[in-house]
Amino acid sequence: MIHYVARRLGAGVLLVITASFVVYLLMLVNSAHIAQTLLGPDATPDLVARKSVELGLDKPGIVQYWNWLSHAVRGDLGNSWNDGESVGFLILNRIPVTLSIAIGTIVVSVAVSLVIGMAAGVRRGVLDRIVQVISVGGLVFPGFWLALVLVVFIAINLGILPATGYTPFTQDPAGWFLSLVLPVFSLALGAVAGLSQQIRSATIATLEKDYIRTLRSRGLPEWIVLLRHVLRNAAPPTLTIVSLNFIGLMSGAVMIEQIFALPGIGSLAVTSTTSGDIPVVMGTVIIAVIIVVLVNIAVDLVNGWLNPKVRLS
Amino acid sequence: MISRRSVLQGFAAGTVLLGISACSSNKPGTSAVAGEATLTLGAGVEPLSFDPAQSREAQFVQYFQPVFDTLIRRTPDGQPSPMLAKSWSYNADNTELSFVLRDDVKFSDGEAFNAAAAKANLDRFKTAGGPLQAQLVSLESVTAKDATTLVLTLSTQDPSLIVNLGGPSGYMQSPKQFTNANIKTQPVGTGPYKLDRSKTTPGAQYTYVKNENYWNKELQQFATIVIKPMKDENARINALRSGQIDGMIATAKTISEAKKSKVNVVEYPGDWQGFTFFDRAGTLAPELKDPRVRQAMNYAIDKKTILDKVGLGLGEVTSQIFSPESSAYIKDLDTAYGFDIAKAKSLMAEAGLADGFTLSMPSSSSMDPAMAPVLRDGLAQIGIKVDWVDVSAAAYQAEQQSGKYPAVFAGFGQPAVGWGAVTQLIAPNAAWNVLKSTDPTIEALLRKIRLASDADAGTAYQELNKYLVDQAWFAPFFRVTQPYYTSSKVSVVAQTGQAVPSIYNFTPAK
Repeated sequence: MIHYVARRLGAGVLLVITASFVVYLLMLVNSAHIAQTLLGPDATPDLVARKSVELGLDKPGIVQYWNWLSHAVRGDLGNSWNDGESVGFLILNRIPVTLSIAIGTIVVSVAVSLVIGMAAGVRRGVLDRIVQVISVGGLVFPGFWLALVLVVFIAINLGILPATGYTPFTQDPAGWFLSLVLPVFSLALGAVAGLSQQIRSATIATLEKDYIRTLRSRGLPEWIVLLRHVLRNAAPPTLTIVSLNFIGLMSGAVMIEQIFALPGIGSLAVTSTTSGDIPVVMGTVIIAVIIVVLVNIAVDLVNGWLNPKVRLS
Repeated sequence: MISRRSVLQGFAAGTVLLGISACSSNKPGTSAVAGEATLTLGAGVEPLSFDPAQSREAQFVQYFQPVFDTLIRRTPDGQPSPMLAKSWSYNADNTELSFVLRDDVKFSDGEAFNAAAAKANLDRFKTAGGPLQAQLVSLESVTAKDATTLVLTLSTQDPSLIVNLGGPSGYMQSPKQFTNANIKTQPVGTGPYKLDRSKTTPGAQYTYVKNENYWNKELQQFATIVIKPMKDENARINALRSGQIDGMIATAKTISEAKKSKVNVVEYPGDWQGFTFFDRAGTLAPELKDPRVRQAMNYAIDKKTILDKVGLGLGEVTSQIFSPESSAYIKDLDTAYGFDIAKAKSLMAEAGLADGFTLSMPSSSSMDPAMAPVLRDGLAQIGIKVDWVDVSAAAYQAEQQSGKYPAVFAGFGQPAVGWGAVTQLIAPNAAWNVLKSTDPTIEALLRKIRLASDADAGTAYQELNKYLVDQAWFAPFFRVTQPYYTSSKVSVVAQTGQAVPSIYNFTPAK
């Protein structure tokens, strides 16, 4: 197990380095414009030239990347070219916002999907059809549209939830919860649509297996059959979808962050990319890749725990 | 069927939600009493750095004004009035500017503000490589004659210097802060407020609390000022309508919706938009060297229809680049180039270009999507084929100034003092005179303006304006209306020549 985790972590490190190299090169495609963009439209050409030299943009791309990488491996992600803040500080400020939304969405969507997906798979009939309709609805209405509708009705007309902004948990736990309700609900509907269908199908398929009939014939209570056996067997493919949803949310949250003016990692990435702030772009990319790698490893480990057939020796 | 229990559970959950909501509500502008309320603003930009030497104009001023007083203050109509400088005067040939400074002002770190501190700030701004360093290009030396007398010696007359010193180049920071590592994140000025880092989250919220030792209590209309960067205009509108913010910058496209939703709308002239010809010497596009071709392009654009259809009619058609507030403005020049295809074709024929030519200009997703096709179709009528080169939004502005294009479609602010437009667009070293166009008549007029007194400069400015329009150095289409929205809890007065109202223009509503 330790060997497996170490191998996956090693692959993760390679992925981080590869991704960072590619992103750095992509950022350098526009390097001729970075100093001008940072200084704004009224900067004269000689100021722009001075700024380019100051930022090291006159050096070969590979040298610039090596300078960045050699500091990054020591934990120094540098400072923003815009406001001089340490990149680590900026990311630490922003990552709780994005993680709160992403984890909140996963928790809500998994909880709701488990209940309605299993209920639909077990009960079938009218309930199943209602769940199908909800799922189609969830796939048809995009999250950003739902977000705009919710803001108008819940936040502006009823005034019971904030229309925009994020309150840190440490500052006001209740405010933190309230600031997440609308963004999480907007994102969760689409996630529930796909996930509940997956759970429903897996439940129906598992319930048709011979061993379920055997378990029932042994007089096992139905809730034990469902939770211990059906759910456990339905879990691995569901977990894979959950992990993909989580990874998708890390990037999909950008739109929701814009609509709700949430200061997350997505909006930081957008701002820094448009202004050519390479240290911040690199910081956000590295963090995103690390999260993706860790989530994938965690899902593999949980899958192995749930299903002995996929365990590695 | 919904059971009674479910209804009760739903009601209970709703009550809890409402309860939490009520407990954590922190509405802005909660008190209308001057000096006690909180002013919360939604901004379209984030402050890039709190170092005054790196600061900019436009929307950024609202982040700086709470903490940094300026040498002079721009009144809402754009005119200079005393602030840290009590008075000022020029010598006979306008090359020496003397200030008498206040003697009762301290920086928020306890250091005294005096002429030496002002000199240190001006010297630093001039050499720190900031985006607006050129604002002090005419400043040869600064002398602190005594604690309250500051003398600026200029290499050449600079008609916009006074007004500039009411903005970024006039922000006064404690010189002790110059060498601090946190200069970009921790501003130390003499302003009416101080940045509270403990209640500030970079990129999300900037909180300013009252400077208790401030010398002018009249400028402390609020106890706290909070500025929240919200890039998305709809998010800002939603925050305003739900009471989360008290003021926001907007675009003309949302005015009708805003008026319906009971927010206060302040309207003032915004950017002028149109073609800026860089290649007046014909280096990249030889056709543009002929003024008749540039005039033809002015006649070929149906400005009124574009303003009505693309700009929703919110603005004024014009053919000049100067603000109606400036002494260069001539009302008749607004209609100098009406929509006249026959005239445009005739000018093209006179220039020997009846068959037209191809003109390359950059475009990006940040342009109104309708604009590029409309302009392409307009110019196609006189045979000019526009080759729009699509560039990324991030690189758009830099690409426009790259020197690769003979002309661009762009928008520019309209400073209240005409010299602002000169240093931005017309002077040979102006950032937006990309290919360094020059002309003996223009040079002579600029010299005349520099040497003239304020009272006499108007005539020279108007001569310059007429010449620029006649020679079609630009093809302005219209001045768009710039709206600013506020809640019913605050009042605001627009600031001429500035993208957003100054912080001093906000007061709690009576």
